[in-house]
Amino acid sequence: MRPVLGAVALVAAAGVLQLGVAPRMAVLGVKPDFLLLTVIGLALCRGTVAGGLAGAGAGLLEDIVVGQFLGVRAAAFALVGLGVARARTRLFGDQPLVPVAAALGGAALAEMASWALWRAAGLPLPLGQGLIRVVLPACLYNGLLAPLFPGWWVRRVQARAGVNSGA
Amino acid sequence: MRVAVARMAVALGVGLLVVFLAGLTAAERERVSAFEQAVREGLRPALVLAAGAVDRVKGTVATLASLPEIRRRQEELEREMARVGELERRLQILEAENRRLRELLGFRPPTPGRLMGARVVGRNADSWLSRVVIDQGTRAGIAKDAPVLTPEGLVGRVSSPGTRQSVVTLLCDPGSAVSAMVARSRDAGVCYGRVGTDLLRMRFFSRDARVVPGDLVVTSGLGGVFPPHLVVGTVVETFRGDYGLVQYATVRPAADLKRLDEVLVLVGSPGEPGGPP
Repeated sequence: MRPVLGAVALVAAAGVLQLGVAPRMAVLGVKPDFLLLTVIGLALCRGTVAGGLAGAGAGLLEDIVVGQFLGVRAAAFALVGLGVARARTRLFGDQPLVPVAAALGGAALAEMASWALWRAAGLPLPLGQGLIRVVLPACLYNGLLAPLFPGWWVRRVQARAGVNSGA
Repeated sequence: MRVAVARMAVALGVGLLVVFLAGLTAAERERVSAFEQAVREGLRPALVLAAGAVDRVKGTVATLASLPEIRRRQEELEREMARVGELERRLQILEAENRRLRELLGFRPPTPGRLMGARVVGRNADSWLSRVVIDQGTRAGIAKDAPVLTPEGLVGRVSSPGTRQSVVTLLCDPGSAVSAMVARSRDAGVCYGRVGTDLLRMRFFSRDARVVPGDLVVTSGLGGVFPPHLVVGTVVETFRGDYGLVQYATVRPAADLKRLDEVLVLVGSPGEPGGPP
């Protein structure tokens, strides 16, 4: 029960940070995504199921506070949670650059999934402009923040939670 | 085996949730659900606190950095005040004359509505859309589609009003479209937002629109969402679309949409555009 409450509190805190503070930390119009980084952190430390559920919860929180189409960011972040945890166990193992790769890949996956779902809902979002102005900057900014989750720390949390981290 | 089933259940559950919620919320709604309302209300104090703390830090740093500039500005403003005082006296005379002439013609001007201040407490987390959260809602008289402004010009419209906080879709949001016209030539068109940039694109109804860089763009009042003559921005460049059949302009919004701390919401009379239903 305690890990679940801890994850909920973490996601809520990241939500406040993301919606209230991150927009004021934008560099050249690009802002860090603390919610995404939290989902990636939880996926790396706690595994697929926790990652997927944390992603769905974090995305839904964002959808409710500022979104019009509920479920778009929830689906995108759930995909990131599931995908990052799966890729870690299947592809990366314990390599030191795992958090950076996870942040880069997770940001790209979240933005592309959001784009596809919003497009399907009828929003006019051209892919070319989006790739240059949204997807690439998001990958870069979040990739630079990824060392917030150093490999040794991830391994320690995993060991405590009993999550299989091996390739 | 159990883990695989759990993974499948998570994926299936999230998939079903998305389909259900997206279907439920595909169109813009007059009111949000009780659950959404509860989540927004729950986060409201933390968002207000976070926005206040960031603004205080930013304000202190900016004040310290600009002390010499403030002194120079003060002298400038004193000179400006004297000039504005003279202009105000002339304006009062013209207003009185205007009122008298309107009465003579039997012309009734539209009710301007009331401006209400609101603080920006949040902004959308992604970079695809451009939306902000303000700390006022239906309890303060804000209705869906109410125009949102700053002293510089139009900012957007309320797209999702809550009880004590609302979501504002900015002019530069890709889903935003505003009926507008060039103030000088009165050529009309639609200003719409684009992904990842504050600059708007204006598509003119006429291919021979007389528009040049520097022209002021204001709302036209067509469409019934925004009242006429609110400042939208300034034309930066003009160009023709494919085959030269459609004329476009790039418009820089008058309001700084990236740095919004306080905004004004136009609360109209009941039944009017922008007013409560």
